[in-house]
Amino acid sequence: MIRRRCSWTDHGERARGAPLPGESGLRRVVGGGLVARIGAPPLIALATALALLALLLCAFFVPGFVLRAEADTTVPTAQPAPAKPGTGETLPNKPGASEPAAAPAAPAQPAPVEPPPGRALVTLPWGDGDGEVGLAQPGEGLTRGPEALAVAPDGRIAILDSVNLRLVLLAGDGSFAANVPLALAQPRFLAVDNDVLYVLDADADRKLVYLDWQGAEVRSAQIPVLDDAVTGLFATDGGPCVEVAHDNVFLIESTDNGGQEGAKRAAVAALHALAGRPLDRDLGKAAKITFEPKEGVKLKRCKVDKKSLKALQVRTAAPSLVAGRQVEHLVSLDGDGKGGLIVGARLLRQQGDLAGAPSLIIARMSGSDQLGGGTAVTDTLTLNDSPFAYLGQPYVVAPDGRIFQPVGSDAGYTILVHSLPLTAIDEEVRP
Amino acid sequence: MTRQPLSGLVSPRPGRLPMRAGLAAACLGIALGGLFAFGPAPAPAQAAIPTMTRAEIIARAESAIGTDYTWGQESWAPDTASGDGPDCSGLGLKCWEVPKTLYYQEENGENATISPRYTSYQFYNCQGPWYELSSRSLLEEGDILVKNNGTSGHVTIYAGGDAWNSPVIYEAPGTGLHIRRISRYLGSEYRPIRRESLTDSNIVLDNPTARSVGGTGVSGNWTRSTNVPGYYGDDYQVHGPTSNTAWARWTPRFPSTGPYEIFLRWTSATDRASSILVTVNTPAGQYKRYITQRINGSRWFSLGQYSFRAGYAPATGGITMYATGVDGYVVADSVMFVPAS
Repeated sequence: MIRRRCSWTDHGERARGAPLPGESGLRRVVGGGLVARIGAPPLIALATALALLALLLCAFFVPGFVLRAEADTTVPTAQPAPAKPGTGETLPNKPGASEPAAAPAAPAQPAPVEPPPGRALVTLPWGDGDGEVGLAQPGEGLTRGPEALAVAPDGRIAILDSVNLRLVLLAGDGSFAANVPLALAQPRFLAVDNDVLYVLDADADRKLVYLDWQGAEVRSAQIPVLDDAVTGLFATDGGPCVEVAHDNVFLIESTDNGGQEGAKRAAVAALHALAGRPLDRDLGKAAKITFEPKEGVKLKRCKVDKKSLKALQVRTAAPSLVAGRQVEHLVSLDGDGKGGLIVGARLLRQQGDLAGAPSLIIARMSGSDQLGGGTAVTDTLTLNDSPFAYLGQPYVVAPDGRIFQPVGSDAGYTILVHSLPLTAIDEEVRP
Repeated sequence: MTRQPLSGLVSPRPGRLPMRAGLAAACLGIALGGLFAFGPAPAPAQAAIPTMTRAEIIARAESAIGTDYTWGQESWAPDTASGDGPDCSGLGLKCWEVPKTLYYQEENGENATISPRYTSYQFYNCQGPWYELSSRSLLEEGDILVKNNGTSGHVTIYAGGDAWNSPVIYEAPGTGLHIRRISRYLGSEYRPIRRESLTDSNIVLDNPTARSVGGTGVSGNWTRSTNVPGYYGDDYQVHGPTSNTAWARWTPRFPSTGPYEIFLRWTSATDRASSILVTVNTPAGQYKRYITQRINGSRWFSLGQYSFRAGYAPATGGITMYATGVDGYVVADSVMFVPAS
């Protein structure tokens, strides 16, 4: 096996084609580093002229040569600016790269908004003991901690400690309750309700395990080969639902009965298509959301027939998540536990943004109609990224609408709890 | 399943042309300049990287799935789904074929003199033949998303999707985990980076992306050659007649289920084999074709249409050329899959 070599050849700016001090850009075009050796100006001119002549001949006789040459040489006047490590700034593209669609004129710069810090529910130190969670820090690889967090309707919390291949269960106040070992190779998804915890390994074992809160496996299901990558797991009263490629959602029907009555364990599950992500636990409402830079956010909500799982009514909308800012990507879509929707999105960075400025917007569309809330954003919350380690989704919406945000630091794995304003238009406010 | 006889020649498709003519002229200019040069010897210039297609990057990443993350390694035995695999930057640099000296077919540890050895730091800071995209929304398959905080970093290969900020990626996550294709959230600390010298046309796989078996040593007894012009890309690989097992197999990741027309390319000469077995693995079974490489060189030669399922599956979605029991040299240059519907 080859070990990492410390001797790193300079492949920085100079090697990428930047002129040396005193070196003309033209020489870089034709000669690269070799031309830098020329010291006498007349000789430089002669060599350059000969080289240019050769290039001109190529351009004349070899169609497409100039285009090819651009791939391997660098014209100083079009030199891509170097990236600035650590700032996250985006810099001009290399010529020829596709450019983003022209953005509409941005409104006046909104005043910077400080994200609410949230309430720190608990900090679990890194480790493998009770009340700890694992952290893997490869030098070249994914620095990762727990890869999923889920909150039950009764407030209990489960953490998928994927480094230690176990669940860490907490009480609603964040106090440690139990560890539950997992017999899965690469568990990545977790969903819970008051009775059952669902843990899915969609990559290696393709297996879904059903556990009770005491840690006993009550059943399992083999997930059939899917057309694309799994992107989500949800708990509903009808059973667990799996999302594929952020698009298709299936209710998983396990035929395993936990080993009773001689049934075969881990039978391949049957999948029943849903109209979208379930917005409530009784599978009465579902929604799909998409985003295209030119078209904006498109939301489709529907009422679902709970028996056939078919969409009965469909309503579409194009909500504006945040005034004055453009969305770069959607992050998630959840029900808020009160009949409305919560949409998460990453904001497109714009000039003037400070490094580390809040970039996640969580927008709530309150409402209690049968199609899952209104179409206007009633509350918003901004969050910072937590780049310390990969911790699964950047936030999780609890069944009661609270936002649970895992944050990594040297101190450990902290769960911040945020609440959207409680004075939304559909909620009664009494003096 | 559509089965057609060998349909013969077609016009060459738009693709990359050999760069040698232009580069040779450029080198002439450099050399002439060098005649008059004096002073201290310069640092070696960064070697040009070969052009490649996005389909090649994806095919290489697919071939690593299931191998074990191995820190400091950048090679793997393709399509084995076992054994030592690369670390995250090793996966990226081999899928991108940077530096050029790093060949895809190399078995574990065969090449112990890889320098420079790009890591996530170089990917992140654009210290190589690549550049940062201004937005993730510009990502196309085969680009990478990379983070580095100065002490550790991670490289992933973008494979598609991203409406939710959880792109489908290939990654070597860490010790104890396998190389995988998954969809997961990547925070804003990941920069979108694109390799230079990419070409896009149809699904074209060049000879460096063929899994090649046929002897001992790096890439078996298949050797790279530029002796006969008219090849695709920077060179072709060739194998002499042998009684041993010797084959080269290309496996693309098909973007969708349906019929595809397959085209092979080689350089012809009188010392080529007159009857070479080519097998096409499809979901409906394996089809055998025989070609001669003494004629029809330097163009895309149609092998007919075949139906494939979406995804990557060497046993049911690839094409293999054999050098066993032939009467001359066998050239494995490149293959192209064109959606036929």
